[in-house]
Amino acid sequence: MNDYKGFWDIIQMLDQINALEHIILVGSWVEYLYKYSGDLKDFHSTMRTLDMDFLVLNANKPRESINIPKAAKEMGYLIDIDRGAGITKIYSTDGLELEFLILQKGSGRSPSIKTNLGVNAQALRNLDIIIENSYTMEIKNFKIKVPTPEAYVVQKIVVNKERGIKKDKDIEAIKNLWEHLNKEMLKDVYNSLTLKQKKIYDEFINHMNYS
Amino acid sequence: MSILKDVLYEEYERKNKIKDLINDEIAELPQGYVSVKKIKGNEYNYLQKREGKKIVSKYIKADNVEEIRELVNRRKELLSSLKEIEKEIREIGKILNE
Repeated sequence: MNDYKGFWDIIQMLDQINALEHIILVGSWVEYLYKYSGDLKDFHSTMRTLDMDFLVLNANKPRESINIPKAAKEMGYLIDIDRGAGITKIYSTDGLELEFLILQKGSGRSPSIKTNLGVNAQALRNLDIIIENSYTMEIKNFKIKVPTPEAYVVQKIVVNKERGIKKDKDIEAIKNLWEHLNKEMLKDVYNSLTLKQKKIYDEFINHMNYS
Repeated sequence: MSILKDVLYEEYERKNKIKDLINDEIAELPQGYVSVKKIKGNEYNYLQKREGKKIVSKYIKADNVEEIRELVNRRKELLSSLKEIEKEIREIGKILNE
């Protein structure tokens, strides 16, 4: 399948219903956009999977709710709600999987949070790193929010221990991006971390012998 | 497990999930094709399907023809996607079992 076309079809679908401004693209497709946009010169993305993850900025926005699953179904996508956690997943018939994430705040433990985008997003911690360090790419007439490469890497480092079978794949992505990062910006992202996040980051860096 | 095997395993699970969702949707869609019969100069639409050796026809009201046609086409598309995805599942399964 042409998964690049599948990617852009999904972006177009989200743009058509004005959902793009409320979400940040996270996950390995961001690396494709860093390369495609030229934001990271000489960077070659080695890893790309068929899952597209979007971070919902605010569960209560937009005020007038949008229904992403309804729009997706009308365009031929398959909709599923995970029986356990209640998370909404959207699939294309040729294999792309669209999933939504949201920041788990305070003492919250709910695995998913209902959003005004019509999806139940998976609630995860440490996504504040990305929310506070993102920018908008203008590409192919779309405005796509993405994390800065520095925030993308720092967030991957902070959550690495919790990533299970994806742990090694994430380390490869970190290694691959590391030399392309702006070290001043990296320092700024680091300074914005909580003490707990800094501790995890420092341990990872020492372990990997990075500086 | 190697990174490649992890990725493949993830894809294997995803494709099986998609296969189940496609099968669920196919089960809800009308089987067959829309045929148009001309009787005394008037056109009548039927949903036709084969049941064993018989061809079974069901009359479709004129207002519903376009909707039924779309659903029949959706079923065809899904059957084609299903064939493709089953092929991919077999290929990934072979690699994972090696």
